[in-house]
Amino acid sequence: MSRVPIHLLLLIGCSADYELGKATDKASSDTGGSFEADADTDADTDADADSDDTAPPEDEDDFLSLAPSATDAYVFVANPTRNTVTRISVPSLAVLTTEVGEGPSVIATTADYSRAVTLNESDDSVSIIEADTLEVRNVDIRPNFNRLALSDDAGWVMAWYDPDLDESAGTDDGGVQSFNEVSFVRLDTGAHTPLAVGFNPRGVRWSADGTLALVISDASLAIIDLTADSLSPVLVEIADDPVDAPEAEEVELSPDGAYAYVRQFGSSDLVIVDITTLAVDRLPIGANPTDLDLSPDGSQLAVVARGSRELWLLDAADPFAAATVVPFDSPYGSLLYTGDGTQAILYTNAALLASFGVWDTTDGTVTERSLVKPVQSIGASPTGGSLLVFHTEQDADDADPDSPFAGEWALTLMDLGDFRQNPMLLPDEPSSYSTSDDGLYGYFVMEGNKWLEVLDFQTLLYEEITLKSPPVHLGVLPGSQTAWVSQDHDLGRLSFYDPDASTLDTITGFELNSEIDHD
Amino acid sequence: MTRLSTLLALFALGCAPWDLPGNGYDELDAPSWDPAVVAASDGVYVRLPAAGRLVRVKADGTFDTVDLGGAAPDRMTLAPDDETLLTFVSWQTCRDDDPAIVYVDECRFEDLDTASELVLVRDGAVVTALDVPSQYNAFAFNDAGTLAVAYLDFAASETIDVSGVLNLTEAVFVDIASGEAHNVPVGFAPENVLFSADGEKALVLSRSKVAVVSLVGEDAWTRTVVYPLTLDVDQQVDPDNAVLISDDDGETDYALVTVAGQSELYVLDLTNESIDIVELDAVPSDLLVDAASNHTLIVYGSRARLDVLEHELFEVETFTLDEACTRLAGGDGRVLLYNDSGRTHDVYMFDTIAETLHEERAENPVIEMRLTEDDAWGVATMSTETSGGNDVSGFYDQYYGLGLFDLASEPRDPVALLLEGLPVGFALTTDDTANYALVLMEGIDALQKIDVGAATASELILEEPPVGIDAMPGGLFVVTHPNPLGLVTFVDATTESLTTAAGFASAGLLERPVLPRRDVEE
Repeated sequence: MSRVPIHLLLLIGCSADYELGKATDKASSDTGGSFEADADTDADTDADADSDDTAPPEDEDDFLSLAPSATDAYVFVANPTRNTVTRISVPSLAVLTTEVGEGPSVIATTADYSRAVTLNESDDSVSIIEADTLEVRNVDIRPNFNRLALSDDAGWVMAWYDPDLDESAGTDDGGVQSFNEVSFVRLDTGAHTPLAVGFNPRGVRWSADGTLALVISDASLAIIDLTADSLSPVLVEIADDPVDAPEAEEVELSPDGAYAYVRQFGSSDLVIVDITTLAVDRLPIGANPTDLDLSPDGSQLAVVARGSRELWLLDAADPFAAATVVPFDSPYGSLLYTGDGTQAILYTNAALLASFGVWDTTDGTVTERSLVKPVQSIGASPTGGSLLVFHTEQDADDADPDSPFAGEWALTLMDLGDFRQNPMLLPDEPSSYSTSDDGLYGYFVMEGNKWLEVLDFQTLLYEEITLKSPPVHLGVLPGSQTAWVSQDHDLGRLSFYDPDASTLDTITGFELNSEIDHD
Repeated sequence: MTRLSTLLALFALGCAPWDLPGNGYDELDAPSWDPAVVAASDGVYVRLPAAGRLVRVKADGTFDTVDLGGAAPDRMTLAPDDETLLTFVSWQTCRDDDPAIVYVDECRFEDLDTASELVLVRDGAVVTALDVPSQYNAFAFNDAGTLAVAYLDFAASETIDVSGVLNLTEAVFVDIASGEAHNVPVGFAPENVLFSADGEKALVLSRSKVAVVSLVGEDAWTRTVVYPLTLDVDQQVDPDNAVLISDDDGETDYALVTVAGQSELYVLDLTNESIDIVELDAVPSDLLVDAASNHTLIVYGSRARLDVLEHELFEVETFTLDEACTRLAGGDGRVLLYNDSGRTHDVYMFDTIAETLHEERAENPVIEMRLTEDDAWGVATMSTETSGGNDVSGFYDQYYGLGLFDLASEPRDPVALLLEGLPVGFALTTDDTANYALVLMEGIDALQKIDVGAATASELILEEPPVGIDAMPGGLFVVTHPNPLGLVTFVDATTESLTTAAGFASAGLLERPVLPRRDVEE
């Protein structure tokens, strides 16, 4: 069973976003591809961070490879070999199954929880499923797509082809194949609009008001007015050299939709696109920028320049105003805002560095603190009170070989108020992580271990819940503390853990539901 | 040799006709009567294989022949109404339509065929004849006894006659009241049939599938849903045991299905048409729905535990036992747990409301446990066991026994009764005042009558040695005897009065078999 390395999964904010970061793994029920890396929830710190996901492709025939997707009331599981989607109600655990298009390979739920959407690779369609009624509409899209992104306002879905998922993509069916196409589907009407955008689209960013979609490619940015009667892209070249365009790694959109910001691989400039005039400007942002984030309130754009060990801060609404540059001592390449935005964590997983920096956004100071081991990934509780640091198995160069953590997997739970730490030795590498929206609980699982690890962010203590079988995917029901864990089982298994009641409810065999014959 | 000489030979031998030696006389090619009688409310129905007749023997000692239209009874089953006898009958036909051929022996052997049908018999007469293949060797009935399902029981495959084409995927639903029969495809090798409490659907368990058959409305007699038990067509999943769960309104919500050799319990949601699997700790040996608590109880032959499954989220609460139990009996507030594998002695009474276990001990391993009609007592036959002790237990070990287990909330200590011989027949009955057990022992001519509540025994002397015992609806016991001309004794356990009926097996024995249902030349 392949898995998503946890450093690709850690996010802040609501749990529904957690597995969407820069995961190139098909298992992610992504909502935007690489460029939806909300607040840079991933831990990549260097220019090649996006290519460090070496997880093998999922087995097409293994439904467990698909991450379920949850609303506040349901968990949806796609069954690709049976062309169905199973809906599990919470807390009743009632199961209903409905038919969708052929070969559903990705499933995602809309932000308003009203619908689930599958991308069906075998018949090149998307299925729009009404969450409550399970009414399904199948909409044909352009061929050979393998990724799906839902708009933040639950109005649209975009599908496209991601070459990083090549093994699972239906690209070998002969005939003409395009690498510039995307499909937009309006979820309320099912209207489909195919568009040709820039070469190799890497993701989409939706404007907060739902009027714009920005499709980023290496050489260009396609701006699509979603309010138009007929969708059509406005293409803006963002590369100095379109013939040899650098890989676009991240895009952010200012909250007012006026500017798009693009960070490109190997470039020391930030590309700024004026959405209104389509003017393209480039701003120097230090040496080797490796991370780009908007502050939680959207007012500030932060760029981590690892090469020059600087944090560049721009006014998101006026990027051409003078930037504030905050220096720091260690070669940190990633930034993670806490949920309340009062602090941000600077760290790296590109080097075996057993420390991190805390940037106080109010006074601008950066305070460095030590850790028991180097960082593999970092997550913060949504409320900003706690930090969860997953460590590498490898030790820092100057590590004490007699440390109980030497050569072992580990994590540290930390209070961001007084920086109390509770480092824990782990038997295996964590494979998935999530937090409750209220910031009280975190959860993680380790591959091959039949435990759900529950982290209490207030006490910094953990509890170990034994599962029926090894976990595969993990999430938290939006708006609740209840975690769901999909597990290895031939017929499908999903468990729900309620930390308040300390109850683990498991449903097994729901895959059989797809074969129930209704005469 | 005439039929009369055969009969005389039987008299002369004075032994069981089915054991007749070769002695120069013609032998019957079948027993004169089958001691596996069926005790209905209006009398005891007895098959006469040699004569091809069905007789009803009444409790007053009289008997009459059921007119089967010349057909012979092959197998019979009593419906739960205790009044309707479902009987497969067969008769021989001759392909040669020469009207001069009247008797079976006038038809050339190669022209002989056998026809069959299912007849419903009530009050000594056929009320309905149905075209149901005789290969169906098992019946399931709904609680009301208004519906029967004929299916193939492969556990008794030796009784399945594969002549012509046999559809292994069908079951036949018989409306006992109207006599209508409906063939319904239900899946390969159906093994068990359950009926919902509301009478609206039946569940047929077959290999790797469970089919729901609608019994009412426009969909009546059609399969409406099929639940798979596996997704692998190469995997054989045989349902082992199943129970239905109803809500307070009597609507059946779930079916719980165990699978042979697996520790998974399949939960079939009959309302939402979905499946869940509850993983148990081991392969369950028995499960039982307790109506009082609306919980399902599960025991395991390999685990000393009782699992109580609630019906909302199907979570299990475990009660530890000292010894593993394999069987459950009861189900309305008090349940007996016991082990019939011959290995252990513990018997438990579980109060399903208070969720308390009361442990008792059977002196010897339980062979069979039955509950009295009022569920007040469990009555167990017990085997001998090897013992080296010289104490009381060692003494008891040498004998078969009868155990009486009180199911009251404040149970009395169990009673262990020694039996002189191997109990080969065992029946319970009740009257207004007491519960009685009648025990038939191998090689013992008398019956032992036990007043269960009082734990007293008395001996009933019979005219001839008994070979079988059954309880009739209404409180009488029926004892069969190995008399070639037929002998049964009706025993009133209360008054200890005996009524004997004899000679019924001679009915039709001397008649030359005719080809029935054939136009005969005037």
